[in-house]
Order: sequence, then structure tokens, then C-alpha cells
Amino acid sequence: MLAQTLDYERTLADVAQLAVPEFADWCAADIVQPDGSLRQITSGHPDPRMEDLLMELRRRYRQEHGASEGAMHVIATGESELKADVRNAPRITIESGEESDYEALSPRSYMIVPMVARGRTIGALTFLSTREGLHYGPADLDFAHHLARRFGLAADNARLYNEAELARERLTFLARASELMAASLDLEQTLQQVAYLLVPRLGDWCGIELVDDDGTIHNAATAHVDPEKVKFADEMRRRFPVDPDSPTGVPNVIRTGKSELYPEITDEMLTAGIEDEEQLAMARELGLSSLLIVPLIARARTLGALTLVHAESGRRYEEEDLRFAEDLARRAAVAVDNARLYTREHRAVVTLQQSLLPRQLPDIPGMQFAARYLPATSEVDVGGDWYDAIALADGNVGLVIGDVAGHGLEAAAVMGQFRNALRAYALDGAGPAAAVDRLNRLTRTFEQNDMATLVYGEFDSTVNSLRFVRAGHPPPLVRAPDGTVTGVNGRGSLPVGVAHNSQYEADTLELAPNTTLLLYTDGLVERRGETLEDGIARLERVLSGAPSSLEELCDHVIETAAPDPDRADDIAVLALRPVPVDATAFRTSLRAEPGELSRLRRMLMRWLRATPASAQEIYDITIACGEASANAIEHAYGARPASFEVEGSVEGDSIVLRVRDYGSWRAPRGQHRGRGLKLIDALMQDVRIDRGDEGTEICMRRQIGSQA
Amino acid sequence: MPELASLSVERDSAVQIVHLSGEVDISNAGPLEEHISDAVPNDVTGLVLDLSETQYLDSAGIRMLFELAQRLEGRRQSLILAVPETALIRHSLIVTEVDQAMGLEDSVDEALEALAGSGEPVD
Repeated sequence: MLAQTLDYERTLADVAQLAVPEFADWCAADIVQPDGSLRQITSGHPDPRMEDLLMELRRRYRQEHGASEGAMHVIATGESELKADVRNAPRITIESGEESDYEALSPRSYMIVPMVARGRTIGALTFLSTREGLHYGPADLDFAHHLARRFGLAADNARLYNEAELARERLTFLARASELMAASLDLEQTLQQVAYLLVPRLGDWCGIELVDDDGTIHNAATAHVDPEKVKFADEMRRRFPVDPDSPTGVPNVIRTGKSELYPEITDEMLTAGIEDEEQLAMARELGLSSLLIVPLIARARTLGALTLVHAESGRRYEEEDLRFAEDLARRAAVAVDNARLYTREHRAVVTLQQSLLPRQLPDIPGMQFAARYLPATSEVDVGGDWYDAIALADGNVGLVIGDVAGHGLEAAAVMGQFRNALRAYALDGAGPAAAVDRLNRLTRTFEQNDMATLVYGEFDSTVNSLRFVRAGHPPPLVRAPDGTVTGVNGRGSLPVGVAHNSQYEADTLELAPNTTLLLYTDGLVERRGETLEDGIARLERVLSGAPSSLEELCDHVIETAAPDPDRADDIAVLALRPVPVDATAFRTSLRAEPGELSRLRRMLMRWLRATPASAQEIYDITIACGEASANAIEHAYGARPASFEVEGSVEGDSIVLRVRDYGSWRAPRGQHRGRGLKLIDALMQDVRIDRGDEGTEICMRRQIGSQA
Repeated sequence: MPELASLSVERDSAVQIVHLSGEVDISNAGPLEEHISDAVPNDVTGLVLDLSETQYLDSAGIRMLFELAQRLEGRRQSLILAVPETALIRHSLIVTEVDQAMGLEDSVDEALEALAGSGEPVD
């Protein structure tokens, strides 16, 4: 039974109860606590008045004798104590009024033996015989030792198990608390949840205080199993606000960043600490018995304090509890810090904002893209910046950087409208000036006076030329391969949404291979106490010295040019770099949609122009590739969003093309259906069609340099 | 839809001339055929479809030509294509025997002459 009873306190209660009444009339176990104090557990006396008397006598006995005799002495020395007959020699003064009870109790004999486990004295067992009971002798003492050894080991096992269990439980608890804190968007709600996670397991009370930016301390969460008590505490806080200059307590912990532990709160401490009578009365009513306060520290800043209080349960906090609370507080502090940086609205806006930005940039041979979006650190400033890169049907690519006036959820939503509208106009093939003009006219139908600055350009890779419109937006920057940076103002016009009759005209900019075009929003160049011109000049210098890899260049520009870690505004950056086309190889992946065909032609022709193929050969190869691709698109009909791949290579005096799809082959039907394959056959040589389970590959060759 | 191709229409007495510039592929061939067909009034003897500014014409475009010819035939109207000797698209028209099903001339003028010589005005 003992071995199975692993609960520490219950084991000791069992010890006491097993000895009673055969061996003793009353039994007590005193266990050494980690702080050196003793915890006593008794067998209890059938008569509650006797139990009270016994407890009172023990208390006084300890006061009178200290560690000179009794349990404390036994524990200190490891030597047992045997009083065979105490009937006429009480070890303690019996006060007037106690005589009759003492008479009724009639102590006769007692023994105190040390409980030793694993070489350590963990406590003492006291056996008391009363009235007609035993006069203990040496044989009884031996038996008492025997019991103490057995029970000592069981108790220590229970203690070890409890510690392990507690450690495991605390880890689980910490993990749960961390999870809770990481998952929630709402700071105060999170803290409230944490507070209730701690009660009643780690305290009868839990309070979390936070420091505001102006240094005032406010209560962020209070928990108690009894909601009435929470109201009471709130009332007390309202009537007696925390004195920020208090030399102890929460203000001190916040000021110093050091924890405070009060294992036992005595009435003297309350009286000494609280001057106001009413407040003292209220504090007494709270019945505080033990208390600890730990700081919430994150990034070397104290953000607040966590207070745990034992009251009704009478439990005591120990050093170990303090360490655990500190561990917990560190995690809570990180959550508080994150929540401060990114409040619910912030995260909501950032989420919306990011969902409106392109997930990936187009994959076009001969062009490199890179983009970044960094939300402002304060939620009220997030939202409204966007970038876009649109693969246009004519093979050109549309580039957008924009900034909607305003911030927050609304600006993010408006940005979504601007972005989609401009995208639609761009895909319509309207050209830069018309697209921006249509966007401007569209804003008249918006319910509010939404406006945006933007740069919209269309880059024609076949001639390395950008046609762009700049509408009230900071000028794009161009970095030449030698690092020279120039700002491109163009004509410039009003932001969209300002005046319905604004004129938008496109300017042309040559972008030689390996030149970098950088589009950005003003968040990158605006710094307090600095003009926009100075900011742009700074960005030009940063861009000039940036690494050559486009991705690294974007990172460098943002890290170096961005104003400070506490970004007051969003930053969006889009970079484009035309790169020389690999004359020997061509490779692209496209969506299986008819609209992609013209884009494919542009890309393919651009590559073919870099080979020795003649104009007629280029055309014929392009037609053949188009036919094979149309086949691939047809195969994908009805399937999930599908793609197909086109690869080209120069092999000797030939161009070899491969068009690969992942759909299912359909035999050409009808009088017109076979014409595509007929064309391929007529224009190309060595045409091979491989139909597999995975899809179809058409491979074909065209000799160049001699008219076929 | 982006405008890959554009049409312009003129009339030369009893003949309708449609200039098709740009590119024809599967994405626009269908609508283009409708537009061209609609651009031909009933009172003309035929259509000269000028492809001298057509940069690209694949099998979908060729199909469009066959269907257009068929539709005009039903209206007893002729179709003659104007495709310069040097045009890149010409080779694929010959390969697919477009020239067997409709007239193929080097220029609009030659196409008009051919029409004048063969056709008879319809009331």
C-alpha cells in the first residue's frame, strides 16, 4: 500500500494513521521543506478539541525549546528522543484554562524518531501515547525506527515522484502557455488566459501588470477561482492605485527587473507595509499567505510584472516556484512584446495586404525579378503599398509599384481594388498610358476619394525598352552594370484619384541587359527631418553599392536605406533586370491556356533571334512550336490548372524544340484538327511524338542556315 | 482580351477589302472570323482579305480562312487573300493548301484584278 501511495502528503498521513491506535494514540510527521521550515501532518485526534490543544502545545513547545529538543532537535542531530513517562512532567507550561483539556488528553509517553531516506534526514515521526496507553521503551523505539525508515523511503519516493511529476507538469504547462500566447492575436485576452491557466495550480491569485509607454502601471489580467474575489481585487485597485514609487512590490520589480519572493506574509508585514486603515482591512480580507512577483522582461526591457499569490490554500512559495514563475514570465514577456509590435489589427492588415500581393513573379527567360514587402511596425500605418509584375499577352511584362493614400484595413482593401483594376487594364493590352488613365477614371466610381501614387511600366524584352507612366510617385532608379545610379523622372503626372481629367503619358526608357530597374515606395526613402530628395539621394548611394544578385540587392537596399527598425510606413520594392539570353538554350513553363501562346511566341522569337536562324526559319519554328503548344493546351482540357514546358536548344546546325505536357493525348479529329500536325511535319524535321501515361512530348528539329 | 489583331475595312466598288494586321492564333481566330464575316455586306461580289500586315497565322488562323471561304461561298461571294511573296506566313499557307481552296495573290491590287476578272456582281 505504501509503495502504491505516491502522493507525498497522503503517504505521511497514512504513516500517522497506521500507527494509531495500536501503537500510538496520536502521531505526527514533520517534514523538512526546501526552505528549512517544517511541514507537519498529523494522524488527527478523534476529539477536535484535543487536536487543537495538541497543535497549540506543539506550537508553543517549538517557541520555548526551539531546536534544543523535540522534532527539530531530532532532525538536526539525527538522534531519536524517548520520554517513557511524561505524566507528571509536561515538557511545556500548561496555561490556566487548558488544565481540564490537558487532563482529558493526559499525555503518557512519547517518542520522536528521525526519518532518513537516501542518507538524508527528511523529517521526524512523533508517536504519542496517552491515558492508558503504552509507556514507550527501547523495543518500541526500535519499532518506531523501523516504521520511520520504511515510511521515510516511501515519503522520499513520493517526493521524488512528485518533483518529477511537477517538473513534467510544469513543462507541459509552459508549452501550453507558450502555445496559447503565440497563437492569440489579442494581448489582453491572452494574458487573461495565461492568468487563468496559472490559477489555482500555481496560486490562488494571479495578477499581470503592464507598464504603459508613459510609465504608468495598469492591471492587464487578474484571475481567482472565485469571480467575486476578482471584483474585490478590482475594487481595491480602483480605490488604492499602485504607487509607482513604492519601494517594494510590483513597481519595484518593474523598476529593478528583479523578482520578489515572500514565502510567508504575516500580519506584521501588512501592517508595516500599508498605512491606510481601510486598505489594510481590505488586504487582510484577501488573506494573503505567500506571494511572489516576477518581472516580464523581453529584449532587455521590463514590460510588466506577474504576481502569484497563495491565500486560502495556505500554500507557500519557494525558490523553485520563483524560478518556474520567472521562466513563465520570460515567455509571457516575449508574447507581450510581439503583441505590442503586432497587435490584432496589425496582423489582420498584414495578412490581408500580403494576400493581395502576387505570390510569385513571372518566369520569363531574359528577365530577373525580385520584390519585397515589409509592413509598418505599427498597425495604424500598415497597408496600401503594392507591387505587381504581370506577364502580358504580347510577351511584354507589366511592372507596378503603388501606394494607396491612408493606412490600415481600409487602405489594404482599396489597394486590392487598385491592383486588380490596373492588372485588368494591363492584361487588356491598353498600354501604360491608357491603363493608368482608365484606372484614374475608375476611381471616380469609388465611394470614397481614394487615391494612389504609382509607377506603371511595360517592358518589351525584344528591344530592351520600358514604356512607363509615373503618377505622383517617387522616381524609379536605374543602376547600370558599372554601379552608376540615375533617377528616372519622366514627365510625371498627378496621382490617380486626384482629378478626373488628369493626363497620363508614357515615357520610354532603355534598359540594357544587366541594368537594374528599382521601383519602390516612399517608406524606403522617408525619414523624419529629411527631405524626400535627401532620402532618394541616400537610396541612390545605397543602390550603387548594393550586391549584384537581385535578391541580395533588394535585401541590402531595405536593410541599409530603410529609416529604422520601427518602420513608420510600409515598404514595397520591385526590381527588374533584363539579362542576356542564353543563345544555346531556351526553357520556360507556361499555363495551359490559349492566352499564353502569344507570350510564348515573344519569348521564343527573342531567343531565336540570338541564334543564326533566318527570319523565315524563326517564323516557321515559332509556328511549329505554337502548334505543338496548342496541342498541349488541348490535352490539358478539363484537367486541373495545368502547365506545359517548352525547351529549345541549338544542336549543331539545328534548332531542337521539345514541347511537353502532362495531359492525356487526344487524336486529332475533324477535317481541321490534323492541320497543326501537318504544319509541324511540313516545317520541321525528325518530328517525334511520345505519348506516355504522364503526358505527351513532341520533339522536333529544324536545320538552319539553309532554306528548308 | 488583349488585341492581338486588328481589322480595318474599306470598299472598292463591288468588293470589300479587309486589312488584317497583327497575329492570329487559337485565342482570337473564332471572333476574328465573325468580325470579318460581319464586315462583308451582301451587295459585294467578294472579299479581299489583306494579310500583308499579318505577322503570325497558325493552324487556327488557317482554319479561320477555310471557314470564312465556306461561309462566303454560301453567300455566293468570293474570297481572295493578298499575301506578299516575301511574307513569312506564305509558306505555311501553301503547305496547308490554302491556295487550293481560295485565291492567293501577292497584293490587294492583284487580288482586286483577279476578282474583277472572274466574279459577277450579285444583285
